[in-house]
This record gives sequence, C-alpha cells and structure tokens, in this order.
Amino acid sequence: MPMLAMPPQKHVVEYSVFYEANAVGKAANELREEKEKELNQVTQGSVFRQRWLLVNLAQQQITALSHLRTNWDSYGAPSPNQAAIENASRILFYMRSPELEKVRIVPSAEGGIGLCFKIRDRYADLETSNDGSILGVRYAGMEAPILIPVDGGEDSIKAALEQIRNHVGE
Amino acid sequence: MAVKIQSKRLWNKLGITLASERPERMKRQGRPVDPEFLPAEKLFRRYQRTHIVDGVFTGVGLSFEDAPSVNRGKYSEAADVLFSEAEEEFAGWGVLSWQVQQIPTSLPEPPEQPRFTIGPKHVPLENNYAHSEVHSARVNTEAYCEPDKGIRKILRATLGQRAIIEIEAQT
Repeated sequence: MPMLAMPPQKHVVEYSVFYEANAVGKAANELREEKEKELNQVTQGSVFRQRWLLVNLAQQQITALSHLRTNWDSYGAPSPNQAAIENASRILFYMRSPELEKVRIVPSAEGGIGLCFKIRDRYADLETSNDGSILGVRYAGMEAPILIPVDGGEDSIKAALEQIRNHVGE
Repeated sequence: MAVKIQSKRLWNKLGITLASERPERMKRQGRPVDPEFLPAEKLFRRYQRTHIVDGVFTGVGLSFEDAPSVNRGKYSEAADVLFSEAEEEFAGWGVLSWQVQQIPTSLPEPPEQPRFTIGPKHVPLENNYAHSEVHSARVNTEAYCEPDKGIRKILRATLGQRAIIEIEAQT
C-alpha cells in the first residue's frame, strides 16, 4: 500500500476548502499561490502524487489524440474513437508508475491508440482499436514477434501488463 | 539560386505558396506495369516522428486494413514519397524503407499452415510511376484481403522491426 511521505497538514486541508470556494482578488490570489507552494512541498515525494501526475500526463496525451483528423498519416488512417480512448484510459489505470514513465502513446494507423514500451532491444505494445478490441505484441531484437492477447477484462489487461513488465523489465 | 530563395521567402511572407515541380522520374508517361521485384529492391514509405519509439519505428504506425502504399526504389528516390504539389505538406516527415526480401512471403509462419501470401505489387499512378503496394491475399487467390487481426498485428510488428530509417522525421 503506497504511503504519503508526510501526512497532510491541517492548513492544507483548510486551504482546499478555501480554494474550492473560488475566492477572487489580489489577496486571494496571493494566498492561493502561497498555499499551492505549501501543498506541493507537503506532497513532494508522495507515491500517490507521482502516480496521479503520470496518469494525468498520459491521459492528456490520449485526449490529444482524440482531436486527430481522419487521414492524419496521409494514408487514410482513421482518428481514434471513443471506444479506443476508453480502453487506453482503462489500461493506464492498471499501469504502475514505472510503466507510466516509460509508455509512449501513439495513434494507430488502423484506428485506435498504441501504448508502446521499449527498453534496449525489447519492445512491446498494447493497441486499443476503434472496434473496441485490444491486442498486444512483444519481441526482442529481431526475434519473431509474439502476440499478447487481451480479452478486454480487468484480469486480462493486468496479465498483459505483467507480460510486458517481464519482457521489457521494470 | 540566391534570388530564387529570396523570392520564395517573399512569397511565403505574403502567404503565397509556390507549387513544387514534380520530378520527371515520377511521371508514368505510358510506362507499363513492372511486376518484377528483386529481393534487394527498397520500398519507401513516409512516417511521422511520433511513431519512432526509442529509435525504432513501431508497427502501430502501419495499417493493413488496405494494402499499404509504398514507392519502389527501382523507379524512385526515398524523398519522392515526401513530394507534394502543395508545398510543405510533408515538411518534417521522414522516410523509411524495407527491402523486398524483408517482407514475410506468407503468414502465419510454420508450423502453422500459411493462410495469406504477402508481397509487393507495382500499382503505378499517372503522377507516381513507382507507386506500389504491400499486397496480401488468401493463399491461391489474387484479390487483396486484409489478414486476420492477429496475423496483421504480427506482420505490422515484423515490418516495424525491419524498417530502416532513410530520412529522419523532424515532426
């Protein structure tokens, strides 16, 4: 169970109430900036915070791909649809921080999203397609690629990520 | 030459783009289909930097839902796949290549029974004589048929593995 490096302090909690009240004005801005700085200090080193930031960053990349136009590759590739985006987001949810740090999120030329990993000569990806399916592949160097089947269920996604973890290393 | 560059800059400044001139080698000019591909012949395709993962092209950037277009090296240069009459359409894009012998000839591989034959096919266009396709068909048939999803995934990964970067993408 990941733990915060430091327990949240009382004034930070109070600040969040203040923040949510959407106070405006110079004094409110100054206080907001000061408290944000404090909040950052308090949560620095937090496993939760680190993961949250990584997931957020990856999620932003996925969202950005949803704005691609059809034919983005000039060879007629469709843009990723909602099914592919949702499946990619689900996979992110099951990733550990080291995987989130390594993952490269790319549009699929067949329509969908690719979550790619490569460490030295070891490559793996999980591809979420516009038809709602998920399929992965892995290989080392010039060895024959091996499929990573995923049925879309939670256990299957976890097993696929475990396989990738074992393949590319953490 | 300097005058040409300067006037090009001026045109760009004014928001006017000049049409590029298509190289003569790209024009078909009545030439026939050439079905012969030697094993070492290169096939070129453009790509974007997003599909380079730690220095290698990922097969995720390749589709076999239709036969992927390539330009054959016998009648073209790598940069021809970046040619466009609309100036800068492919500015910053890269070009990768495969040799014909690097494309699997049939899939799935033994010990499974092959169900699809794969290979290059010359499909010249009036403005791009070198245009070809990586063709896939069910064994003993001619028409293009997209391979089953799993086979397609293996094929795309294999081609990703074997792709050579000819011109590095900047964008």
